[in-house]
Formats: sequence, C-alpha cells, structure tokens
Amino acid sequence: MSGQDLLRGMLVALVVLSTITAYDRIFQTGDWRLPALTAALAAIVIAMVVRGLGGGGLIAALASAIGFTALVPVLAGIVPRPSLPDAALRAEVLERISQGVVELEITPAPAPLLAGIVLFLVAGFWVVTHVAHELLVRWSQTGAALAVLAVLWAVPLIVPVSDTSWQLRAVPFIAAAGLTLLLTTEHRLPRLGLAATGAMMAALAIMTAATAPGLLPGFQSDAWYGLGAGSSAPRGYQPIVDVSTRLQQPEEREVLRVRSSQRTYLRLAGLDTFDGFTWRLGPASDGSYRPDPSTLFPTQDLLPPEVPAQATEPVFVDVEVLDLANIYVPVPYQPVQILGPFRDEMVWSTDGGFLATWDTEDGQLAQDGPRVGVREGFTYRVQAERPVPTREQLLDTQVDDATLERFTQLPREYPELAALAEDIYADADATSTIDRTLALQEWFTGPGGDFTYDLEVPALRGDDALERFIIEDRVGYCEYFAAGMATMLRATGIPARVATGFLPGEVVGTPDDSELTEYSVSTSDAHAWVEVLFPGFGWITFEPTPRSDGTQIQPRADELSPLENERERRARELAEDADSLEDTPVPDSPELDGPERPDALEGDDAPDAEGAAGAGDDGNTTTLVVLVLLVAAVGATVLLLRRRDVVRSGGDPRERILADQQRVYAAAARYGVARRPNETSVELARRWRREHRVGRDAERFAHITQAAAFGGHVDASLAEESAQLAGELTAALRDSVDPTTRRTSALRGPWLRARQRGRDLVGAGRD
Amino acid sequence: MTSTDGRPHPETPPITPAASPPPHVAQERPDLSSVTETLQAIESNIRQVVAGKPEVARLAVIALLAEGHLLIEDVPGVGKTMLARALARSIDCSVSRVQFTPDLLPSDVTGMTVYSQESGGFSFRPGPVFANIVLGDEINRAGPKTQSSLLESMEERTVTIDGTTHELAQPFMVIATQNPIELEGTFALPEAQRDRFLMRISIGYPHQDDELEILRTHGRGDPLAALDPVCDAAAIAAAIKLIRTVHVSEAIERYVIAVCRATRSHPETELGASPRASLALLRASRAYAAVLGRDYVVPDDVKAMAPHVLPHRLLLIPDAELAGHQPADVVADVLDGVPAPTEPTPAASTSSA
Repeated sequence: MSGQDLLRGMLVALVVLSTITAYDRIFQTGDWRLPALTAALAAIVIAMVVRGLGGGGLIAALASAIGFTALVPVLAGIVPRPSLPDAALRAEVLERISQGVVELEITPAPAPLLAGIVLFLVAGFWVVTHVAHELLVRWSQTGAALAVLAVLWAVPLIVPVSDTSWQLRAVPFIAAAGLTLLLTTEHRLPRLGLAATGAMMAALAIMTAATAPGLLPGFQSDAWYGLGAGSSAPRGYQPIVDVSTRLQQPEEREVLRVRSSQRTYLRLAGLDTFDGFTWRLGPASDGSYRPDPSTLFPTQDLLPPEVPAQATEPVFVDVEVLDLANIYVPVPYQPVQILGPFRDEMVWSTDGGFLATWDTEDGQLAQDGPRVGVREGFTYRVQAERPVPTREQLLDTQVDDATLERFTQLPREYPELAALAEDIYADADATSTIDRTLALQEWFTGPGGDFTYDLEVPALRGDDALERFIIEDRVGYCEYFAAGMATMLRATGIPARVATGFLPGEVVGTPDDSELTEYSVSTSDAHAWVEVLFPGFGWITFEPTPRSDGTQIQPRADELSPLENERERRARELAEDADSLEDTPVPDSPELDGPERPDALEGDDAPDAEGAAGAGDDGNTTTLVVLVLLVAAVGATVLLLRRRDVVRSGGDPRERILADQQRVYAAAARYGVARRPNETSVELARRWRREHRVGRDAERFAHITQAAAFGGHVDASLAEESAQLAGELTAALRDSVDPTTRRTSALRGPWLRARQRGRDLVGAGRD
Repeated sequence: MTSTDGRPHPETPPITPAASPPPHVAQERPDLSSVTETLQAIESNIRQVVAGKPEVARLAVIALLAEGHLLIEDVPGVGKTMLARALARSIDCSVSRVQFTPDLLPSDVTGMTVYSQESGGFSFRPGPVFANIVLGDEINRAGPKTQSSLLESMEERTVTIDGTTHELAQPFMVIATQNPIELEGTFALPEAQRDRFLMRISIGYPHQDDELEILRTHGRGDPLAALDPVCDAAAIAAAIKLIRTVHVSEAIERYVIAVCRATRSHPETELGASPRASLALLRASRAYAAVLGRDYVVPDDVKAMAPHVLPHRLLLIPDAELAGHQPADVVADVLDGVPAPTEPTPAASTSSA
C-alpha cells in the first residue's frame, strides 16, 4: 500500500472522527461513539486492505458487504459475536429496523442510544465511510468524498436541538475537511504555494456553515414541528419518552436542585391520550400536540386550577435547573403561583395541567409555540396546592358524563385487561372508585401481581404489548406500570391518565437560613405514575410502580397523600413491628422483601452504573486520545512522505523538477500567461522575459526542466534549485498580472482543466 | 531565410553538473568538450574569411558533424565558395574542388580507368570525389547525368566504376554551391536530388560594417592563405562518432516526426518532408546539441534546425508559389502549429495517481 493511500485512509478516518461533535448533540451520552466509530474504522480497514492487496472497487465493495453483514449486527448489539446470517438473525434485524424507524420518529434529541437507532447509526457510518474511502483513495475524488462525509456530518445537525454552539460542532469537520483537501490536491503533496486551493475551499465551507443555519429549517431554531411539514410522524415533545430515556441513561446526572417545604413529586404533564402504544398529550390523530389557546394562561397572575380542588395544603418549592433541556417545567401539582425571573417565559395549560415554556411578547403568547426554555440556570419558585383528601371524602365523588367519556377513552377494547381488573376489584371487595384504584395499585406493587421492576426490557411494541406486559411478562419500569394501570382503570370506567415527571429526589440537606429541605433530583428520578380524577378534589396521584430503590411515594387507604417514601415507610413499619410486636417477620412478606430488594439491586446496579459512567468517561478520553493520535499519525505520514520525496529525489530528481515545471505552467495558466502549445520551455521563458514578467532565472529554470525532460543529467542540487526557481517564477508571474486576474486565478485553474478535458473528450470522440 | 533575418539562433547552453548519468539513460555519457572545442576552432577560422556570418559557419560545421552534405544557395559574390574553402582549409584533410560546367562528364567527377603505358595495364585514376571534402561549385551548371553521378556517391558513399566499387573517404562531405538567379544554361537540381543534402543554407549580403571589414581583409591578400588547419580528419570522425551517442528522448523523436508529418499535410505543400528528412532533422539536431556542448536533444534544437533542413525538400503547390510563398514559410508555419514537448512523454495523461 502506498503512503498516499495510507494518508488518505487516515484522512477519511479523521473526517469521520470530526463528526463526533455533531453526533454528540443528538445523543445524551457518548455511548454511541464506540459502535459507530468502530464500524467506520472497520470499513476503512477493510477497504484499505483490499486496496493494498490490489483488489478492484467491486472486490472492495464485496469485502465491505461481507464485513458489514458480519460486524454490524454485533456492533448494534443484536448478536454477541459474528455469526452467519440465518433466518433468526434476519428476523431480529428486520424487527430492529422497524423499531429504529419508530424510535427515530418519536425520540426527541438528545436521545439515548436506543437499540434501533444504534443499528441505523452503525450501518450508516459503515456505508458512508466505505464510500468516502473508495472515492478519496481509489478514485481521488476528494470533493465527492467530502460531500458524502458532509452528509454524515449534517444529518445530526438538522435535528432540532436547543444548541447554540454550532461553531463548535462545525469547526472540527471544516478543519478535517480542509486538511483533506490540502493534502489531496493534485497527486503530490502540496508545497506552500498550493495551499491556496485548500484555503479557498475551507473559506467556502465556513461560509456555507455560517449561512446554512439560517437556511436549513430546524437548525438552531427549535422546531415544535418536525422537519417534514405535513408529515404524520409525531415529532412534538412527548414527555413520556423523556422518562424512559432519562431512566436509561447509564450515567446518572443531577438535573434539578430543589428546595421544598415538603417532599413532592415534580410533575411535567398529565398525558391524557393513549394511542395504543404510548400515552401522550393531545389527540392521538395529531402528529404533534398543540394545545387549545383558550386553555393557556400566562403565569403573571394566579394560575387557574386544572380541576378545582378542596382539601389541599400549600407546598412551596424553589427549583434550580442544573441539566435539563425541556419545554415542560417540573412543578408540584397543582401550581397556584409562579415566581422568579423566568416566569414570563412560562405558560400554564389547564389541558393536561402542565407548565410549559413559551415565547411571550409583552406578556402575550407569541405565535410560534413553546420552545426548550428549561435549561441550565433556569430558576423559579412555585406555590402549589397539594390535594390531601381522605378516602372517605373521595368515596362519593361523581364524574360528569363528558369528562368520563374523555378520560376513559381507549384506542380499542381491552377485554382481558378489563376482566383482570374486575377480578382484582372483586378479590379486594372494592366497589368505589378510590377502593378499586387502591386495589389495582396494590396488585401492581404487591405480591398479587408479582411484577418485577427492571429497566432492561424491550420497548412496548406490537398491538398486544400491554397485555403481554400485564398478563405474561410482568417485567418493566414505571412507564409500563403507569400505562398498564391507567389503561386498566380506563377499561373499567375510571377516569385516569399517566403523569410524568420526577420523584422527589434525595435529601441533600437543610440550609440553615431556610425552612425548606434541599433535594437533589437526578436522571434516575425520572418517573411516570397514574392520576385519577376525583371531581372537587382534583387529580390524585397513585403509584403502581414497585420501584426497587423505594423512593416512590405510594398512597394508602389511610393516607392518600403521604410524605414518606416507600423505603422510609418500610423501615418505619419494620421498626414498629420489631419494637411493638417482637414478632419474627414472615420471611416472604413484601414488607420484609422490600428493604432487601433495593439493597440487593443497588448492590448490583451501583457498580454497573459506576462502571458505565466510568466507561463513558473513558470513552471520552479514548476518543480524544484517538483523535490526537490520528492527527499525529497524519502529520507523521505527511512528514514521512515528504522525506521520502526528498530521498527519492536524491536518486532521481527528474520527477521533482518536472513537477515544478507543471506547477509553474499551471500557475501561468491561472494567471492568463499560459505556455502556447508550440512553445518550448526556453521560448516560453524568453517570451515571459520579453513581456517583462520574469528575470533571467526563467531561462535557467527552462534549461533545467529541459534537462530533466529530455535525458540530460540532473541531480538533487539541481532539483533544489528548480524548486526555488519555480517558487520565484510563480511569484514573479503572479506579480506581473493585474490584481483581478490574480484574484480569479483560483477559479481559473479548475475552469481551464475542465475546458481542456472537454476538448480532449471532443478530440477523442472525433478520432 | 534564416541567416538573413538577423534574429539570433536560440542557443541552449549546457546544464552544468555532469557527474553521474541518470539511471534511465543507458549509454555512456559522451564527453563533448572535444567536439565543442573543435567546433569553436573551426568557427573562428571560418569567421576570419567570412565576416559577420557566425551562424553560417556554425551550420556548415553542423552539416559536417551530422555526416551530411551542404548546399549553399545564394547570389554570386557573397562568399559561398569562400565559406566552403575556409571549412575545407580548417580541417587537415583531403580537399578537392570541382567546377561544374555544362560539358563536365561524370567521369570527371568520379574518376576513370585509364591505360598505363608504363605498367602496361589499366589502372583506376580516382576523381575529385575521392576526398574528405568535395567542393562542387555551381553544381547546377552541369548536366543531369554528371549531377546524378555526384549525388549517388553522396548518398551511398561509394563509387562504382567499371564494376568495381570504391569506398569513399571518411569523413566525406560535399559542399555544393548553386546560383539561383542565373537561369540560362543551368540545370536546376531535381527535388529528389536536393533531398540528399542535409541542409541548404544561404549566406546573404553582409552587414555594412562586415562589408567594410571584407574590403580590408581581402585587400591585404588572400585571407585563405593565412588559415591554418585546426583539426584533422580523424578528429572529425571521432566527433561524428560521439555525436551519434547524443541522447534523443522519445518525446523528441515524436516531435521530429510530428513536424515532418505536418509538412506533408500542410495545405500549401505538394510534396512534404520524407522520412529521410526526419532522419536528417534528427541528425542535424543531434549535432546542433553537441556543438552547444549538450549531450541530449531539446525541442529548441529541432526548431533551430528545421528551417535549414526542411525547406529545400518541400515542393509547394503552384498556387502557393504564385502567391509568393516560400517553403521556408511553410516550415515556419508548421513549427508554429506543432505542439512542442516539455515533458518526457508528451502523450502522458495528466491525471493524478
């Protein structure tokens, strides 16, 4: 393999690496890098090896396809090790593809590394890298290769994400692309004078990068709608998806710092529509959700309640956003008043009961809809009225028909779930709405349902996914439980919805100057739960998730709005049991099982999470190291090639002198003083001299080049002299033409070449 | 045309270092310093008698070194004969002179077999053609039969008389002069014959100052008498041998062929340059490069030689002749039209590796 091939292969790798910053913005963590960059590297290595062995483009494509088939499923995590493609793998891949399509549609950026997306990512990196390598190395089509790589780079950039640092995203790619152009112009390594073309292209790239954000829809402006206008794909921000993605983040990070008078769930929104797959805001038929303006209220005044509620107690919460990009503002339910510097950016929706960030003009809502306003440094104070009814109060509430109709809608019948729910109600002897709800909650969290909490489960897919989860699998996380319980409630005529938000978080301390307790809310506190409507008392929170760490707050018949979480409650009950009863606890009772389970799971989970976080950090460092190494390798190859160039020219400086001549002639052509075809080198030099463009050295240069061209003796010192003369000559020619010609000369070269090629073609055709 | 236009010939000085040969040139690099020295000595000799025409002197030497024959065509009195004699005189070798007249017989040129009373047998008496340098004055005055006897010996470098083939001397060069304007009683050389001369040159009228000088030098007596030989026949033969080793790259060969072919397809020519012309052009270019001390031929050499080597071989169509066009114009036209090579392989693609 020639040094040039190696250099170009490395340049492709460098440009691919430079897209890291672009992809980083659409992924929550750096986990995507390992599979994607491994795929790119594998593609380059295979293409290079084929090229090195002298294989043609077709063979390279075949080899790459074989490698693709073997490695991509592994990198995408479909199979643990390379295996021959069989029917099972094919089915798995097809399923992954359809899953990926759905994930791409519904997952807002920044996204976690979902199973389907990773397949697309790996496959895309592989294919693009192979094509770019072949274009650049095999066919020397620098421009085309960069165009392909630019597509790879641009894909993540057109995904709407609140992100203002486009320069940072763009600079690595432009730098890598510019370097590629510089190092691949002509077929020799450029000397300084030839940097002009590369610089020109780089300037063009920067210009494009500077103007493109304004031209591309969705780029840098936060699209409420997706890119494809009229597309039916739901592109709006569906908070439910956020829950799962946040929970699946391997490295836990703190998203909120909360000072609160009471422990409270921080709620983002109530999802009142079930489309058969997910619970979401707004009608299922709409691609994206747009609330009715009449339900939106500015936050300057007291907020009208979503549902008027009696029996409430006030909650005061100060929230500081640390790391959360969202349009929904986490607040305790239901908020009454918002204070703080950012309150003008918020709007309260009584439909779904959520607080969202919205652009406002003079206190009025702007037309363009909400945007990702919750961000680092976003602070606000909320006063909320927490519903604290008693079971007895809720026993005789009545829901009017219209409301009942709306909040018991389901996309289809769920007869099995309804039957199961009725059985549970019957077993618990529950007749009222509140009793039935509590019974169902108990079934989900207690031994009745025997559910297992686990984040590592496939996404709910397929029409009967919910039934599978509730009746067969019984493994899932909060989203599954909330969706399952809400669906079962609705199927049995109880107005319910899924709420999404955050658990209260971990107590980090009590500041001296405040009566408020400080909580730290992290990504692992993302949560979904169930709300049931009790007219006159509001939407009451229920908790069907048997979360292993026990940080959830579960209402009980005797205390519908407890302040202690499950862990504390179990610990208290255990202590009470031990103290008062001196009974040996029943080994397999849930109360005893409880405290052990979180511990055991924590023991398992914590090292895992730490390991993942460590790996993530390592991944970052590794990427950086690889990037630096690659740059160093490119530099070393350049130097090596140059030195080899010099060494070679010591033996045969002929080539070098002739290349000098070519360069001078090319420059002359650009400056409009080209050699006439009938002119010999010496005649040309004399003409230039007659035209007062150059000095005597021009003839000396001509003589040297003639010696090199026609069998005279040339040696290294002569080559050195020719290089120097060529530089001086080019400069002299450049100075001899008027500035306009000089400025347009960079364009004239390609134009002249193109014209010459055209003529050659015509000539060939005529022959 | 070339010697009278006053434009200096392109002279390409040698490229200095000549230590180790480049790998792809197989043969030994000739050391051309002796050739250059010889040339310069002859040139300065000639210049003593033919004032102000250095290029003519040089062309004469080139013709000699290229193993060619020289046709000097000019009006009377400009020094044709003087040039020829000065060249002959500068070399220590056998020189003969034939004044061509209408009644000159072939045997007067080649020699004949005569009966010797002393030996009582026939013996061959060599004619003037058996010399290293043969001056053929006013060659167009002789009849075609005599002309062709000379011209045949020029090409074959042998003379066959009465069934016996006699080798001519080495080196062998014919310097013929002819007078273009005197039409009466002349027999113009046919094209086929002219082709045998490597080059045709004309001397042209001297510059005013040079003419003054001529008056003075010639006024003091025969300047030829003062000339001493500067080299001998063996040195010339060695130089000729050296010149055969001057490197010609493929690009140059292609260029020479392209130029000659272009004369054939030129719209004004009825008869273009023959393959013999290509050979002659290349030989002349080699010699030209050598006398400049260069051991390889460059396109400039070809361009410098073509106006001397090619025009007398071309036959123009009547229309062109009527329009007053000269073969030299055609050659200039052709040189303007044929792309000159600047790289070893002119047809090589310029695409990157």
